[in-house]
Amino acid sequence: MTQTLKSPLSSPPQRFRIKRIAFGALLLCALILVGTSAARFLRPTSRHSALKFQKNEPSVGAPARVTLSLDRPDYTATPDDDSAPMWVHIEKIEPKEDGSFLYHLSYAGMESGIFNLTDYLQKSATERLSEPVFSLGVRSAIPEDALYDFGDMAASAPPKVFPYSKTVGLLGALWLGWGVWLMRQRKLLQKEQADGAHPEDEASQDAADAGKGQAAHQQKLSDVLRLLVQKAALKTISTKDKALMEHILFLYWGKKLELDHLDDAEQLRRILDHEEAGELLRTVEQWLYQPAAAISAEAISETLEPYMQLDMKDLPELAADALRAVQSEKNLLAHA
Amino acid sequence: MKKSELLWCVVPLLALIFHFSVGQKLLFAENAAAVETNGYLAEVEGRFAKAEALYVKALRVAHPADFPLRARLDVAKARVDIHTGDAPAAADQLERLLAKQSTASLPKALQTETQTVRATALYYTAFALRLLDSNPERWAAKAEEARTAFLALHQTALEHGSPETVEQLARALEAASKLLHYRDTEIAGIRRPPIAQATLERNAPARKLNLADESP
Repeated sequence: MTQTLKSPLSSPPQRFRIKRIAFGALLLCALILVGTSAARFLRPTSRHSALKFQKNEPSVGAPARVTLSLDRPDYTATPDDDSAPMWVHIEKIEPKEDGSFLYHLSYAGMESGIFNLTDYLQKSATERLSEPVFSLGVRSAIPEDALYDFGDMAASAPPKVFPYSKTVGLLGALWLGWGVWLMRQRKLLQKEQADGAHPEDEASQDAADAGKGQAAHQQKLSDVLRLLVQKAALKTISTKDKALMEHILFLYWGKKLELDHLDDAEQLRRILDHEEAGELLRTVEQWLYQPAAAISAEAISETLEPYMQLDMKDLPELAADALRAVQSEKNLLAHA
Repeated sequence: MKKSELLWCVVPLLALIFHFSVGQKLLFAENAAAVETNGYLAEVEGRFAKAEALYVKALRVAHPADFPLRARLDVAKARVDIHTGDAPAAADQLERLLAKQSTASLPKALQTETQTVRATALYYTAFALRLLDSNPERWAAKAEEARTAFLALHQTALEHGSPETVEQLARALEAASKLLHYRDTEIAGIRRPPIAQATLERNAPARKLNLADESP
């Protein structure tokens, strides 16, 4: 049995393969970097084209500053000439430790291009610099084929203005609505007051009206009692209505038995002691609070029939409550 | 009478007091703004004569005491005047506006716009004057004034303005600088901007020049 051994060169392990790929990628990156740098240095350039326009180069007419080091402190700027394409001013000269001098210059080009400072600095009134010391670029902001036109200085849109008329209209409508609501409230109040007013006052005003008013009150109190009986029969009577029903009977008997000068507890005790009144109140109480009691609605309605004729003038304390009960019921019916 | 009813009665009195004080300014501003917006739309569409008429109407409608609104309308009218060839009048109008003390209280943006429109009006005035007369004494002062104004605006924009504004003002500054620097043969050789041509045709610079010569 022969065993063939695999050559490590023919199939390298996985980790060696990854290393080779990484090394190759690094080598490629290095070559690209070196190539681009060399191309930049080896590109054929003239003296002017070596200085490319930069974004921060000033445009025509815009002043700029530059600082450069020169060997002597006595250079001066050439006098301003309107026809010259650039002006240069020396703002400050500072001596340096190495013996040279730092010149702070300001300049502005009236034409675009690259300008050599040799043309704008001089040793004396007659002697100019012989060697180029520094080049400055001035760019043009206007495209060559463009007109010197400012039509692009567009108008800005007018700002939004407060809509005064609409606001006044809206507020006026709100004010009118408020007025209507106030009037309605006032009418309701007047109606309530008229309905709940003491009949004696009405009688003093007009006898006929008083008679009509009494009839209306009588009708309403009977309405209340009927309503309460109906509600109780349908088991929809609320605790408040139950209390109102009991209250009507309590007040009626208190007045009839001339007990209204006593306090409520004493009145109740005496009413319950009374044969007819005590029986009635106990029956109603049982009917209202013990639904399982074997008393039919017809029976209680029959029992309460005499009280259906109650006049509200006999029980003025109940006028407002009775009216409210009737009113709320009517509203419910209207909604339904 | 209940408190709410009393309040209901007092509200219209308060409203009337407001309406005849602060409200008047708001009402006038609203009316003027409607006309101004129409003027702006006409200006954007290039109907400058219509826009000018609307701006003049808006100035009539604006409240006499509403200085910011009136200043804005003055600037808008001057801008349109430049397009219709009346750059010298626009420059004068804005110069008067800038000379007012209350202009300092205007919003910065409006102040800058006023200065920009004035510089533009000066530039086109100088351009038309230069086309009209080769004597630098006739036009150089206006051109230098325009260049200085654009230079100041450009310097301010370099600190606070957007790159677009800086570039726009760089173009304007370059144009104003070149207007000063060009020789007569060069200026005759370039294509005339339509606004400069309109200013020349309207002959406004000549009239203004004559008036300037007559003044002591």
